[in-house]
Amino acid sequence: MQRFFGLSVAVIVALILAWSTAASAQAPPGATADERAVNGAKAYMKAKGLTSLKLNMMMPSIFTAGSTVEMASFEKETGIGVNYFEVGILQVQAKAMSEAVAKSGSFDFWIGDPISLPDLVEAGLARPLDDLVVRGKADLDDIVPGFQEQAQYKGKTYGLVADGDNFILAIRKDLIDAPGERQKFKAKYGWEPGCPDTYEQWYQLAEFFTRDPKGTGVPELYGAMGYRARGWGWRWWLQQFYAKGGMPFDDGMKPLIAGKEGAEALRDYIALTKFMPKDILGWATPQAYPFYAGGNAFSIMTYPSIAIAAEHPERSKVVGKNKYCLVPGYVVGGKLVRRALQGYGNIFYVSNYAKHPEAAYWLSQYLTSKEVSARLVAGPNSVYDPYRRSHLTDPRVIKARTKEMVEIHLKNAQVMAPMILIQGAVEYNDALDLNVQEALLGKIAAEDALKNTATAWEKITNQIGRRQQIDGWKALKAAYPTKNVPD
Amino acid sequence: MTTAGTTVAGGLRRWLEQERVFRWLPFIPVQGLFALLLLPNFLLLVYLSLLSWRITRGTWWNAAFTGLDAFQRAVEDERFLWALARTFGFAAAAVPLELLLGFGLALLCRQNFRGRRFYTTVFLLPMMIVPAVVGYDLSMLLIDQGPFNQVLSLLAGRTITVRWLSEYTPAQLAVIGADVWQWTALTFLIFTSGLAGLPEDPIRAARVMGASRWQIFWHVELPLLKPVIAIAVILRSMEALKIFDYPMLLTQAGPGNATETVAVYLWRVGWEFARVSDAAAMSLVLLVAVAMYSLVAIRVLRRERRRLAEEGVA
Repeated sequence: MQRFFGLSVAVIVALILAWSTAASAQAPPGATADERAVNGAKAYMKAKGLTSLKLNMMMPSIFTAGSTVEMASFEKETGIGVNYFEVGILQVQAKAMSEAVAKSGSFDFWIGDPISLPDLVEAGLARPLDDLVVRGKADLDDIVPGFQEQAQYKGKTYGLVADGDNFILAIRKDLIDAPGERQKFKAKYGWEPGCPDTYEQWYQLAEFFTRDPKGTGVPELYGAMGYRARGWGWRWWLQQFYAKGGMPFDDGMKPLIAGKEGAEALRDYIALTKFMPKDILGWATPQAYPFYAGGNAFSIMTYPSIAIAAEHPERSKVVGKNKYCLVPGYVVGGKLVRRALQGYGNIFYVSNYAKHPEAAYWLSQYLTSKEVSARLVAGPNSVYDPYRRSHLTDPRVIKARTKEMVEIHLKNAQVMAPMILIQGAVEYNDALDLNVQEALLGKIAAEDALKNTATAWEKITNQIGRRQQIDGWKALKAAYPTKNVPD
Repeated sequence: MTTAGTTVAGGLRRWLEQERVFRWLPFIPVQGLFALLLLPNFLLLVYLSLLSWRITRGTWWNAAFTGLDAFQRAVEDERFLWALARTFGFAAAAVPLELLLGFGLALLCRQNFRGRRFYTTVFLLPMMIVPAVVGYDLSMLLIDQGPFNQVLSLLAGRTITVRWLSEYTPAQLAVIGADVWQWTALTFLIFTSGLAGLPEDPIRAARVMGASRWQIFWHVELPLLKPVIAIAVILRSMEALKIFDYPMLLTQAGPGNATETVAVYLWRVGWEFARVSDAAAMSLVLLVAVAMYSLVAIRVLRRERRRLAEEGVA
């Protein structure tokens, strides 16, 4: 009798457990991903018996101003708010790595780039989100191909993409259209000035529009801008290298950058720098955007959020004067090849050591949903860039960025190439960055810079394990574009 | 019970009053803290340096023991060796400047003049600012068309656009300058205390014997200050060898690797590249280098103290 009673209790407990698991695994109600995120969050709070909750978040400081309004609206609806601590955008990896060791749960989720993803998965910090993505029915179908894939590793989803960061070229159409300029340019270079098809054409535009009438060496107008600072510059070279038809590794992970294409791309990269502000080696977004929006440069190759700065009615002197262009390319084998690097691309990650991983996920789904992401992308302080097809037609996004910009940006996405996203990515990229900058400073020749990089890459590959890296590289290769130019 | 208690207390007091016990008593808390806080970390560091552990490769207690491999990698790593040399170079440039300026300011503030206290406070202010704030502020001041170059242009009467943050040598000078600006305050404080503590008798005796102000300074005061100078050198050198904030905030340790100090490189290897065992081995190599330098400096300090004691002035 006693045995029968014990068995019955065990069966009842098991049934209750199974029921509660099934209930918690049910998709939350809601017609849209943001509604489901809100309802999922509410259900979570109810199940935990909470009325308010503060999640801890690590956030690159450049994202704060553009994020807090939407986080506050989520808190108003669900009671789930955010205590965020800001870090420099290049310090995210180190902070995340220290948490991977400490396992302290000091933050529930964070915004980071895809470069750190393989390392942070292997270190055990990034939590796979597939179960929650399925439950919340995150509206990933609307995302332009190539973006969400960067949040995947070894077949699992580790984050929700929040930012379409493939580069775009902005040029000043008002300067081209100024009286006499078009004719003078055509007479000198033999083509109608406008969006450049090739890097050579961009060089010519930069040369022509650099204006230093007093010959002081400090031009009144700089012909070009791009990033050349430590931690950033390598991305701009990589884009040019890709457009040369280059690939970083062969199938056995032997570096391929030290060939003719790499050296030519690096020489072009260095040559263009002479039309940039003298301090460009120390500049990133906080310096570059206001400089361009202040009307000090003719062109800039940068992240698409340049449009927010350049079209800002109060802060910009060049509103309505910009033309947004497809990224230039190189003629390879008689055909033009354009490549737009996905040069950062923020992703919401959830920590394996989070105290409230599910709540962190619901907030991430909310912020990256079709509706809320459009509001984020269109925000006056936004550095989130369009990454959904729906952004292309959203009037708020178009108003903030211009229709031309959004269309061109998503066209560029058709030839979008990833950064080197394999284990040890930060170290591979750092070695490249260091050598590219040494060449830029004239300390070493372009060929030597790339040979040094290749040697360093071999060492990194051998240290991590070649077989493992080959697998990672094979998986990444699928993400490279097949089209030469966008449709 | 009372008698027994009294006996124990008395015994304890007698034991504590013994010269050899009393002499070591103040060291017990220090040794305790060392044993509790520093020693385990240090031993862990040594242990990690003997493994082949990356953060991305499981837990450290399961990592393979590879002996001295990480040390071999460290001494073969050109970037590490350059960072080490560069850091010693920065220290060799910054510390003498800080000593000279600190000493000069301390001599100045030794005189009686109006506003002396105000200036003393002003000279001490920089070291009370968080180094990260100094680095950030300087990164704004030193941009090529920024306030610093504008002041230089005014002084020179022509446009000066030194690229303090984006050219090799100027960036190195900027890092050294930041260190000097902030830490001259410390040497000023040390020398001010040293000058205030100089014994009066030898100075008075020299004056009575007709020595000039310069002779008194050169032959009496300066030799008496040697131990203080040695302390300032040791303290500042050890700190300067750990320089991290200024290169990171001013230039991200660039341009190129112009300002990549050993602290920055160790941070990168450990936390960005996840190679913890390599970082541990490198930090031990650095520790040995700093310890050797400190031992030499301490030996000089001791010798000077002994000499002054023999001469009966300390």
